[in-house]
Amino acid sequence: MKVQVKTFGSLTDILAKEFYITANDTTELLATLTHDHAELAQRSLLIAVNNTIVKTAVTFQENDIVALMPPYSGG
Amino acid sequence: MRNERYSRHYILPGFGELGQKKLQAARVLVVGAGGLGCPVLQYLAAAGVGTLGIIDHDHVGLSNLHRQVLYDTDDIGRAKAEVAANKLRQQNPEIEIRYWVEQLYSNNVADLIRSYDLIMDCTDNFAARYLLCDACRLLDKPLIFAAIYQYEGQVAVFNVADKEGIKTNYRHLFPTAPTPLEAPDCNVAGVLGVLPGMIGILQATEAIKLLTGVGIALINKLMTVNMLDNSSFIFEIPLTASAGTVYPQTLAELSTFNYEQYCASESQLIQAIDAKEFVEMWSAEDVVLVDVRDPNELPRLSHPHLSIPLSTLSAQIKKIDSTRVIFICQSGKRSLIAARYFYEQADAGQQIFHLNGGMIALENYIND
Repeated sequence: MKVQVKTFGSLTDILAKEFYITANDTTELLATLTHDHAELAQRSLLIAVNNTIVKTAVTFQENDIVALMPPYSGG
Repeated sequence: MRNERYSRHYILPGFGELGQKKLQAARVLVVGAGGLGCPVLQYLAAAGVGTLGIIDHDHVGLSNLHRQVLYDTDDIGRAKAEVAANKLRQQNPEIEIRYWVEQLYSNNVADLIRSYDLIMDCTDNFAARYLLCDACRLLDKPLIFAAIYQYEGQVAVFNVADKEGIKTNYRHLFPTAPTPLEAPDCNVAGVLGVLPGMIGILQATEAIKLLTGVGIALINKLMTVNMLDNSSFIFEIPLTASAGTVYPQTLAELSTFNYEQYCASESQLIQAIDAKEFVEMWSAEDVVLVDVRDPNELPRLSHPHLSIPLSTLSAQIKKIDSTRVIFICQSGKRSLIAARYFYEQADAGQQIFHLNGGMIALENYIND
């Protein structure tokens, strides 16, 4: 499935702010991104599919929008 | 009795005198009087929240002034909580303002927040955020969270039941504390001066909505705002168990939980070393090498070492009593897990290392 990925905060230092990628589910997406960007492996990140945060593997539908968000600490 | 000060609230459709009365009756505690805390305090004071508490242990610095608009240049060096309280009393002498020039700790948090109806997380570090998250969850206090990074912000309302009775908190977003390296604060990463103003006002707005019942608050929702492209998103936060994470389940456990240590920078505590550094260190008297692979994994480490497979580490942890401890495995993954586990149990003086790339990297280095 082709999905659109949007990245937030400091993740934009590692990944483009928006890009399209092919993956069957969230697990495969993260594996692909971590394979290409090893520094992602150590990062805490929140995954949302179509504006819902997901904690377990979610199978993608064509054109799903996936958000990858890091924690912010500043105040 | 109508008060001219709030006349524009009285005539506001959907708000009115009843909304104003609810604000007057409310007790709100603002934790952190920095970038987020300033606008939150100013607008909640102006709006007539009856009792405002302020906690901040920090003092005003010159580099705060581009975004912390409660403070003047003359205030540099003064305690933020005290300066804020004085300015807010001038802004609205009709409300009660209390302040504490104190840091939030495991052993004072419950007493500080217990008498308030609503807590505002305007802190700037993970130790305070996780402490506040756990304390508010255990005391069932509504918590309005906001955090910022460079040009972006996050806002959410925690510990408030939605229509289904579900309550979420920050641990449903990030179950365990990230390292400060992953999310540097404004002092390290920089911040656009207007960002905390914008995010803090969103946070204050959520407080007013929750207290008065106006509109739809961000209950179980995370809102993100990006100042660079004006994009904003609202994400649903599902109630998911955070399996495998350890955090206080009672106030007694919380009162002795070390949040500073829990959230400390991993890079300061666990140093990843390469094969060259490993070989330079391995003969030192105060160093012990701990191989966490299973005994049948090859090649074996030729240098004297302790063999403690990862699965048996907890049972054998007392054997590791040297000042400097280096964990080793095949690829560097298990050694990092071991180092993290050991760190939680370690004595204060112990320095913890792990060999990046493991035996594979060491073999490559020695063969070159």
